[in-house]
Amino acid sequence: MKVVILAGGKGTRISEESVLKPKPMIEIGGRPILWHIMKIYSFYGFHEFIICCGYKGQMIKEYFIHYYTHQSDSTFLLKDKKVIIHENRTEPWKVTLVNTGLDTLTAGRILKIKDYIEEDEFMLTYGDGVADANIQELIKFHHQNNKIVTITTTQPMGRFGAIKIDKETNQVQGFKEKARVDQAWVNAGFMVMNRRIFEYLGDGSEMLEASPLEAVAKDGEMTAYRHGGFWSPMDTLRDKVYLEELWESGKAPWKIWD
Amino acid sequence: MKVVILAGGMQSAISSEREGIPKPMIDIGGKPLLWHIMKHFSEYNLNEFIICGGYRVDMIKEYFMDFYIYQSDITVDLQDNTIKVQREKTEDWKVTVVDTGLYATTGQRVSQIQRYIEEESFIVTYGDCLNDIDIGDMINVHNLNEKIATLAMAKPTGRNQLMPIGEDRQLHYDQLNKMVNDVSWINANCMVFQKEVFFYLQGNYDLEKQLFIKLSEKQELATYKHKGYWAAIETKRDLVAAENLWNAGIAPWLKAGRTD
Repeated sequence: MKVVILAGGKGTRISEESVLKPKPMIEIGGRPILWHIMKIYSFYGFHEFIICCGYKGQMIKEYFIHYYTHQSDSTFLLKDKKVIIHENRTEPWKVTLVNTGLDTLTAGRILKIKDYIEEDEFMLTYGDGVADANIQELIKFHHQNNKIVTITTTQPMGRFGAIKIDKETNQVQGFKEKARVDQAWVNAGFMVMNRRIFEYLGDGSEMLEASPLEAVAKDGEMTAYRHGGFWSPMDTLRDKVYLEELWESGKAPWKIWD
Repeated sequence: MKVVILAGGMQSAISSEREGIPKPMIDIGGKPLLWHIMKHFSEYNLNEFIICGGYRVDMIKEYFMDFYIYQSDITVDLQDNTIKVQREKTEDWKVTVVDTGLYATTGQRVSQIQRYIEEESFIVTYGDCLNDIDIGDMINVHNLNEKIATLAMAKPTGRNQLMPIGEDRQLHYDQLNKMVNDVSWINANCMVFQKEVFFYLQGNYDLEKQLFIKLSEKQELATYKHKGYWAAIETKRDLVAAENLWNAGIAPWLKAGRTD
C-alpha cells in the first residue's frame, strides 16, 4: 500500500525557518519532519511514498535526489564523473515527488496523484504531524469496518494545566496537569482510504476536509480510529521547540524505529 | 535568431530573499524570473538562448542541468539511487550558460559571447525585466530599418507612470494617451543587434553610456516603440506586483497565461 503525504502547503506560521523552507522540510534533530513521518510508515513495512509537493517543492526533490550520497561516505572520481558510495546507509524507499501546484487545495493535490495509485487502497497523512500511530492496527481496523475512509483521531494534549478549586473558599485543592481527556477529538491525519475517495473529490477546488470528507461521512463511509498515544502537529515555533526537546531527550515517542 | 540574456548582475536587492540568489533566479510563482523571460521569447519561436552569468552562475547552471527534474514528477529509488522521470515536462530550448565574470559591464558581457553568435543578427535582453514586447514585430522593424541596432522603448509604468500634465498644470487623465504618447520613452532593455555591433563594442563597454551614443552618432541606432506592458523587477514591490499578475492567471508577458 502506498503512502501519500501532503507536503505542498506554505507553512506560514513557523515564520523564520519556513520563509526558506516548505513546512515538511523543517527539521527535528537535523532531519526534516517529513523524514520522521516516513520512518514511522517504514517501520511497519510501507516503503513506497507519493509526496504532493507545492511551495518550494524543488527543495523536497533535491533532498531525495541527494539523499543517497548525503547518507553515506562518498568518494568522487572527478575525471571519470563517478561517485563511489561506501557503507550505504540509505532507506529502502521509493519516493515519487509530484508537483501538485502552488495554491492547490488538498482535494486537488490528491486528484493530481491519482495516476500513481494502482491499488485499491492507499494511506494519506499530513507532512507536518508525528505520532506513535500503530499503522498495522489502523489498517486492521480499516479492513474490519470496510468503509471508504478511516481517519485517525486523537485528543491533543491540553496546553493548560487544570486547577481544582473549592467553590466556597476559593482554596486550591489540587492540580491536574494538561488534562487530555477533556479535549475534543481532532483529526490527526494517518488516514486509510479506498480509491473510491476519488469520486468524492469533485474538481479538486476544495479542502479535502470540507465537502469531500463531509459527503463521505454523510454516506456513512467514514470511521474514526481512536489513537490514545502520542500525536503532535508542527504548526508553530512552540511545537517545533517541543518536538526538538523530545528528540534530544532520546524519548521521542514517535521514534518507534531503532 | 539567438537570444542573449544578461544575467550576471549582483545579488538581488529584494529584501526578503536572503538566500543569496542572483536576480534572474528570483522566484515568481514557483519558477525563476529567467524562465518567464525565456518563455516569452519561446512564444515567438526563439528557443536558443545564451545566458551571460556572473554572480552565482553555478545556480543558473544547476537549474538548467536539472531542468527536466525540476519540471516533471520524479520517483527516487533510495535503495539503488536511481531517478525515474514521470510525466516528463520540459522545453525545447537550447541554453548556453556562459560565465562572463563577476564585475563585467553589460557591454563586456555581450563581447564575451561573440563566439556563440553565428547568425547575422541576435537579440540582447536584460534578465530582470518582464514585458509583452511583440518580438516578431520588433525583428521586422529592425530588418526594415537596416541599422546595426534597434532598441525597444517603453513607457514608464506603475509608480513611475507618466502624468498627463496640461499647460494649465492640472492633470488631464481623459487625455492620457494623447499627452504622453510621443514624449518620454525609457530604455526597455531589449534590443536587436547586427553582428557588426561587436566591432563597436570594443572599447565601448557600457551599452547605454557608450555604445548607444557611438551608434547614434553613426546613425546606426533605430528604435522600436513598445506601448504595452513593461516592468523591471527591482524591488520587493515589483516582485509582488508580478507575482500577483501570475497568480491571477493574467501575466501579460505570456500569451498562454499561467501554466503550472
